[in-house]
Amino acid sequence: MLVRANDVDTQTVRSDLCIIGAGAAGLTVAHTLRRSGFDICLLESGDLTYAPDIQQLYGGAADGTVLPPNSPYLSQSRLRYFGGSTNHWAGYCRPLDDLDFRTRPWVPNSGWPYRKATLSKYYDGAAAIVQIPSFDEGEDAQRQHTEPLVRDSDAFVTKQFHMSPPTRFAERYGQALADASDVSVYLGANVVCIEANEAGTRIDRVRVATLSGRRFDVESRRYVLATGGIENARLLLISDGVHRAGLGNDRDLVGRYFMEHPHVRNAGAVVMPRGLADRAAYSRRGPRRAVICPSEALQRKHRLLNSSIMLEFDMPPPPPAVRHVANMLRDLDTLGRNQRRDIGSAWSGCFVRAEQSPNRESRVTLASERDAMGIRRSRLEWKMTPADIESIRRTMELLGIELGSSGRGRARQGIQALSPWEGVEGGDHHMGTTRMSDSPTEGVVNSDCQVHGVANLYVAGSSVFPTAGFANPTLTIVALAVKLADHLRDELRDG
Amino acid sequence: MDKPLLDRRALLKMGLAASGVLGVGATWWHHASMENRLVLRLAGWVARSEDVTTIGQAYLERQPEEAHRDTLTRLLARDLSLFPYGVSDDELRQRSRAKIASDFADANTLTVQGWILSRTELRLCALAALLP
Repeated sequence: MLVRANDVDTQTVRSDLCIIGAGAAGLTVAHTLRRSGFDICLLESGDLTYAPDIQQLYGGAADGTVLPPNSPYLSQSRLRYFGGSTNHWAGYCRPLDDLDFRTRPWVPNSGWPYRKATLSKYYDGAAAIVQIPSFDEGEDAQRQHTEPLVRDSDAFVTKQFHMSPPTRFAERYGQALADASDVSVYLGANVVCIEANEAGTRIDRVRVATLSGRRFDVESRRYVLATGGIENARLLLISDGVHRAGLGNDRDLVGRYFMEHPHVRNAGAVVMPRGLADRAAYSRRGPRRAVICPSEALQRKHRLLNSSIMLEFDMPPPPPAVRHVANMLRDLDTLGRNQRRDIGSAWSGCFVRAEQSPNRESRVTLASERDAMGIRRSRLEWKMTPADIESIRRTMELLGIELGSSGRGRARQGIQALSPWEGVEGGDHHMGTTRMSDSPTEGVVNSDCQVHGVANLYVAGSSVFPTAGFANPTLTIVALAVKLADHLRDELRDG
Repeated sequence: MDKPLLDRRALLKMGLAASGVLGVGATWWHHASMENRLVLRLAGWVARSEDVTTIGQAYLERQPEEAHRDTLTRLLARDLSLFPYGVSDDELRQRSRAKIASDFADANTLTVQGWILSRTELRLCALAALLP
């Protein structure tokens, strides 16, 4: 059922499971566990539609490597109402690569506590939830029915994104939750504190308040924090009644290692023979979208971060410099061939979506300023390292070498040596701030997404990613949420 | 991009023909070795646009020791194995393509004006920039 938090007429709501946040992660946990015989309380700060006063609760200071001082990033990169940021996501879906789960010696602090195989069946469930076909391991190799610009080699491989409609979680799953007898969705319910017992080992209750001043508590057997990569850290940090540095923050890890996916829309350009690359396969308009990626061997050899290169054919006509050089290449590359393959007769832009290396100094902290609920706002310092941009630059260079070596084209480098960060932005993907590790010295949550040292508190969402690959996070967020739901089902049954 | 510079090839042919005719009387042409002539033939195929010239000049700024026509000719002739005499146009083209491909395979490339190009391509651009 749906309940306006302002209409709650009791001081304490009791349930088996309290889920804080109704975005992709929270809705998935609730949807997966409904009809399981447990009372579920789902707390959502917003209403069914966008409201500026609620959205403003997201406001906070943000700056960093590619953000100007006082950037509006925190209030503009996410949505605070039922369905969360699935109300505006673009639908790009792809599992993380197995390499993303592994510890890579050339990427400090990399690796998950398990391999991709652990998530495989949950990725299948997640695919159904976001309305795409399941990925199978051989899929990237089987899509050769289309002509890729770069044939799979030791250097580069073509991978696929599946495009979700995109699924608007509130529209697709909201009604079922509203109709469920075992799920209560509270709208306008802002969690202002998570209260632990005296020892700090269990959560006793969460304090809830509305913008108009109504206050009540929720007491549950288990709690799931699912408010996104910024708010998850913020809520743990403000809950400092027992642990003075915040819940789960004994090791000063909460809020640290904030990661984004650096997006470079003008990372370069490629000239190629007309008809060589199947434009439809690279188009964003189909059910799949092909991307060119450095192979695992290439990443290992050149100490690269993971990344993908999208070909953007829908570009304005090339500038004269591109045309003239393309003509030069045409002369050189078609020389001596019996059949003409005009190397410079087509061109595309290159849009890179890359991995950011985990960086302890990239972090969410609490600002001194407070929001309308009286809660300290978030402050984000999104810091990347020179290695992050050098990896992108080097990947483009290696693509140029691969194209030239195979005679399939030439590439132009878009990363400028003197201003390498120019044109780099984020994808509004907030990750890493409650990272997962089986060791409490290296992570905030364990491999079950339980906060280390706090028995009944779990975190859902991309804040638990220790490393994030290049793939958009939603599919992995949903897969982890399905996995967490499975775990919670067992826990709640066992009491 | 669909449409190459339409008059470029015609101009190129005219230019090659003219340079051939004029070159007969030119002292350097008379005394040029066969390898020079082969290399110059090859360089003549490079579109002599302002941008190609710019790339060639940018390369020479980074490799000033190569900033002479004879030097570039010698290097290209060596790399393309332009002997024996009488290499046909097709053979010349094949060799240039093969050398460019091996440059890429060996990562013998540089990024000049943003373009990731093989050493041989860049030398041809540079030679084109040095031609009168």
